[in-house]
Amino acid sequence: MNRRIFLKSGALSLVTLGLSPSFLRRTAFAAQLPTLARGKTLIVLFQRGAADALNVVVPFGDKGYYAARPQLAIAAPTSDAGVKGAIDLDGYFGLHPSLAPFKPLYDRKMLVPIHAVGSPSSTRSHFDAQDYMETGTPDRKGTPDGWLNRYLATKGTCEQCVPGADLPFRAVAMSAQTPRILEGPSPTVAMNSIDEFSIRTNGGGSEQRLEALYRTGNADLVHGSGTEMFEALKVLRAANPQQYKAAAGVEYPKSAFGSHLLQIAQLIKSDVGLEVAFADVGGWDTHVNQGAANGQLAQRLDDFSKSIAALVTDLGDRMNDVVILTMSEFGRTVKQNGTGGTDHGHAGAMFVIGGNIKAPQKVHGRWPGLAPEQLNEGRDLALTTDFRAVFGEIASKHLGAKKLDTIFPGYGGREKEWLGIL
Amino acid sequence: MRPFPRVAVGALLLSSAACAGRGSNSSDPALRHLPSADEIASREQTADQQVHHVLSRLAFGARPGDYAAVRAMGVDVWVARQLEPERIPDGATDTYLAQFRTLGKSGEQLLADFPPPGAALAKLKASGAMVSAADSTMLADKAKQSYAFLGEIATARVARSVMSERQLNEVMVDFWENHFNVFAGKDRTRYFLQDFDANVIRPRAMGKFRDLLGAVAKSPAMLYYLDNWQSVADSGRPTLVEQRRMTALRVAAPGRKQNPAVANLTIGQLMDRGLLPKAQEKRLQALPADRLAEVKKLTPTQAQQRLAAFVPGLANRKRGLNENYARELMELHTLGVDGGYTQHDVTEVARALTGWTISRGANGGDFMFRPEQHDAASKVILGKTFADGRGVDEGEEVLDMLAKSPATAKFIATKLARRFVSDTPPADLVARAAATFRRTDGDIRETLRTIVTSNEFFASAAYRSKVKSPYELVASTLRAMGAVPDSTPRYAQLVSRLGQPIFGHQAPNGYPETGDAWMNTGAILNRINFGLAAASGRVPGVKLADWPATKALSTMPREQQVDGIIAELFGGGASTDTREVLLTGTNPFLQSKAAADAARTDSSSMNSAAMATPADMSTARQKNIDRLASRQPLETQQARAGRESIKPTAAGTLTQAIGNIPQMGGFNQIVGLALGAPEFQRR
Repeated sequence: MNRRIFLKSGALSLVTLGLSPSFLRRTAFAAQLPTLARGKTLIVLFQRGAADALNVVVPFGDKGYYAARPQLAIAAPTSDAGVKGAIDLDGYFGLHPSLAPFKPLYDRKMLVPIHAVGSPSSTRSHFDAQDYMETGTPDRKGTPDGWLNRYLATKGTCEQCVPGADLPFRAVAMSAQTPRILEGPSPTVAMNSIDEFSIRTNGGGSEQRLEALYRTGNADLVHGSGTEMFEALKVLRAANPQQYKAAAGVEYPKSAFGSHLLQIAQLIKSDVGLEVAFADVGGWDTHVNQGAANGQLAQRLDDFSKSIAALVTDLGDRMNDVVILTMSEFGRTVKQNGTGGTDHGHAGAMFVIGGNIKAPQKVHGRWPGLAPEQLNEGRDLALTTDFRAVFGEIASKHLGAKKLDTIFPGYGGREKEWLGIL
Repeated sequence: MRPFPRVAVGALLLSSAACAGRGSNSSDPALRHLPSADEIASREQTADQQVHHVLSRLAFGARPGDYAAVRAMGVDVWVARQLEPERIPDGATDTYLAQFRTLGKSGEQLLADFPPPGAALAKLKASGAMVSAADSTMLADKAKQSYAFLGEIATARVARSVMSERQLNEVMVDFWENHFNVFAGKDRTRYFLQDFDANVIRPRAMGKFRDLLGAVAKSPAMLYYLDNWQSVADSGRPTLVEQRRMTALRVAAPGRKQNPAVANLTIGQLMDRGLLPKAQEKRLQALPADRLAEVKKLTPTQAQQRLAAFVPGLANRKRGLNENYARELMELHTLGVDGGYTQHDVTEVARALTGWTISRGANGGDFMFRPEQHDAASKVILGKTFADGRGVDEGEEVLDMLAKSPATAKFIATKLARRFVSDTPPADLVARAAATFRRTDGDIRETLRTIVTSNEFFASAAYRSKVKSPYELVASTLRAMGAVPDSTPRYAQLVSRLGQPIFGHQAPNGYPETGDAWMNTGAILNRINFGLAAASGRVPGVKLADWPATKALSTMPREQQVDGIIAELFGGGASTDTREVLLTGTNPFLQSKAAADAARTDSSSMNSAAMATPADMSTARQKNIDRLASRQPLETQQARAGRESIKPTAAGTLTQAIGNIPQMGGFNQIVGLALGAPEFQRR
């Protein structure tokens, strides 16, 4: 039995013993839905497939970059209108031209690029690397839960501990399946869209009967998940997030990713207590014909940055309580490969975006250089910042996580390694 | 368990199913390996559970009549027959599938019939004409059409899973297509899926693992999806063709030892004096003129030293090695991620597989080995040295090594046991299955036999322990409802909506095989909605009016209806809570706290106690609920439901009378609730 089932059945067996955990009290007084809650929100965005960090945050000041990528390199910032060069950030690094929507955020000190960051594991498997990034335990495959779920769990799921901690939409993944990062004992919701989240019958009776089928006190995965779902339905109906339209002038891209971010904004605006939101976006595994200023990667970055910029603008002042964190499982080889693309590499890049950024305006993380002798295993960008240093700082400073030893077992809260972003 | 009416038995599972037990079948070769009476007697599951169990594990659930048919045939006879699908006639399925126009078409044909939008654009550009608005519309149409056949491929796959008599084979096709995952959304991969399903996986799903592995390695779908078709020897490494060309330059001047003066002659001088063997001179003459001119200036020794320089492009090749397939081959297809290989092995295997490509590249064709792309230098793979210049045999030997590795046996045995027995399969069973795999040279059928005839398979703990994947949920619903599959892409869309698009998993690891991955609040909501849709006539091919159980049960009292539905959909087993909810048509939410407390003392009463009675519940409503609770027959409604196949208005009168009981009422509601119930989410 995994921990998730155990915890679920644990909670349910309390019911059968006649004890009264929070959700039982809540259903006993069904009219009293959880009070709407407004707090801090962390939005985690996963670029699945290993985004090519060197063409995302471009080290145009490093000669090694141009030597390794004769066809794929992004040109240095230029005033030549005929050339789509990098967008200068600090005279050494620049953004890919398709990340133009990020530049105003950078200028307003809302966006922090971090380079040479990632997992200390040497794996080049997407699946292992995603697993490690989501469990927060590099090179340990047995970890049953994701680090975001462990954060949720350590903060407590009982009302006595933290008010609102067991709100059903406390943690939402905009995906059909619960992502690894949110797997674990603490309840989470996974959905493709808010629309989908309703029982489709012609009346209310079937819904109540179905609820009864799942609320039988059976302590297993299926009944537990069903019970969580019926809780969530009630809360969502009361909050009605879809009444909130995008702010004037904000246009989300019509992509799945854009639509997911729009709905995250709606959930935040409806004060359902969204504390952790997750969405992912694929298409980064550019082994073949990656393109440079234009092409495959440029298209992915265009959707990526326009969607995120729309979210930031749409949330307006609420960004003061929001941090957006982007990540990808690893970077790609410094050298272009034989098929106009790049292969699996090592360190990557992240963005932290928020209304309460303390970090100085620059690209963060120590730059290890791209000369042959500076590379990881002679081929990849070396790692100078462990992803847990970024995750830990954000969990601690933004969400108020206390038990970093539990959230990142074997690593804990190494404050000395933090970058001082928040 | 209460008695339930015998539902009309539909078509028997096997056309040759006149047999009644093991004794009468001794001449049937499929029945050589039946378990002994002692083995059968030591199983934990009851006889009825075994029938339900094999139909939910070795098949995509039971169709109307299947329980009776398997019971009559005997569980072990049925299992033995399913293990030999090639002996099971399946003509009806083949006939049905003939209506799908795209089936049987090659990748090249599909590319011609549904050209990718890029090809249309290129054609337009080549014509030199300006791109008009009409052209843009045409391009958009082409783009849409170029995906249109995908729905047909996916729907045909669902239809086959629903209809085929070779159910275990279909389950194995699902297993292997997930194990050897390919993604329809990656560029042109979609054009090769039809071939992958029909010619690569399906014929080998129960054969030897090495055959399957080799067929996948050479399939355009996998070659394209994991980029191997483009992988070429890296710069500086001679290809097989270059190596042969370099051999041509290995000029040995005759008689050097006897005549030292000859040793200092250039190749040109040797040729002029006719001192080279005819064959060698011929090979040299075949070189490009400028190359030959250079060669002529060198002595044979000098030429030897500068061999690489005579191979154009060797030092600065545009394309190169791609490790993608080699890595997944070991991590996901054979050894498993902890199977004891290194990054070095990945690179070396990738080198061994250079030149394994598609005859017409992205335009399709068959497997082809291209010597001009193959890295001919020697390699060390998993500790074994491979001499240079071996060509396609080298890759074959790598596949042999991987297929024979104990790590592969364990990896495949674990995955099979997880699919067929439990999310956490017993280690002892995995070890036995792995031993069978090794002993039989990777025989999938025999490995399966070890698993599905084991006591662990028939253990109580295994019974209904697996959560259905969305694909299994859709297929089992269609089978349970006796659906006649439809040929529109609707089934593919339904499976997709439930979270498991067919050929739609982007990463090479395939969909998860454990229940926790499929159980979350959003997923369970979609599953329940799917069940309701099926019962209310909104899933193509599902007609409640035509369901054998409808005819048998619609005029029965509700209690018999509920037990009949439980028998049909859950194989007879439902929790008392589930039965109660289905039976009373009501539930603890609608009962008064006092009544619930008084009436029930089991675990669910705690829940019902917690559910306050809605304060506004009218007397009239309560009266109707009481009527439902008293289990009176509802003939009028059921008869209508049976006739009209469930329109929302079918339950009109009752709905008006009791307010919040939904319009979907009576028989179809019981079916909808049952399909949405926890029991139906499991297999």
